[in-house]
Amino acid sequence: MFSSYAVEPLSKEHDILGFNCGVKELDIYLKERASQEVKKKITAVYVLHRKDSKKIIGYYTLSSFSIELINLPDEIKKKLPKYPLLPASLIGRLAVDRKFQGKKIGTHLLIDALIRSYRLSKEIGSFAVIVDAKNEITKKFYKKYGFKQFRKKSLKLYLSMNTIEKLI
Amino acid sequence: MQFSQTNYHRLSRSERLEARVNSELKSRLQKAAQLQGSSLSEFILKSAEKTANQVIREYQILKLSDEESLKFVNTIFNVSKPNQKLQSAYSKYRKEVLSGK
Repeated sequence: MFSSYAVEPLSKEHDILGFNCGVKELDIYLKERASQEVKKKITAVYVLHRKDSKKIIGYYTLSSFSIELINLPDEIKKKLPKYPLLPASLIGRLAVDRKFQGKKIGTHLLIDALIRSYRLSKEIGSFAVIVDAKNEITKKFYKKYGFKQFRKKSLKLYLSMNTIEKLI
Repeated sequence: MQFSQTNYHRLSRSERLEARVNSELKSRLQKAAQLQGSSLSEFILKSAEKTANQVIREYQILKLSDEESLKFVNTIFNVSKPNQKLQSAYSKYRKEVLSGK
């Protein structure tokens, strides 16, 4: 199925207007903010579409993120050049159009995002991929693939770059 | 991330920022500025800068507690294998993407 799809950086050629994933915030983001954030280099936005059409079926965002640590033992600090900050990659948003949900497109986008983050980590140094789950359903989705929570009620989860490296 | 607090006295201020405001809010801002002994514009700039830094922090940084820091770092350095679900999703991705080329 995915052989007829492509994932590429968002550009003016893409048709974003009809996108509807069921979560208003994610729809509005794509339509009103995504291209501005790309222009300002705050966020990278990747979109999935059929090769024969520019209509967007799904998208995700990647940006750099930091975890601020506190009170760690010296032997651990030594391994962290930017302590107390630890650089990471953030998948801030990931969404699939309603008409295409239930086809594992979200999983496809997640793997694509992990591979991209891993490649980037070679250049910028990143210890983990962080995801911002918007609700309990998406939290379950990420946990299924091994993402861990920072704290009990947090909607932010992480997967270590070491684990992703083993995958790839 | 550390942001240095701008010194509004020394800094050359070349850009202009305007905003319309109702009289009630304006007098409240003026009162607050007076209480701190700063001018109205100084007060507004200081407050806006503080909020801006906070917003940037929240968007780009997650602050962990002692316990969370240790737990997180241990997971990061402990090389654990990807779980079964992730592995099969990855192989499926590879197969599908490669078969398209």
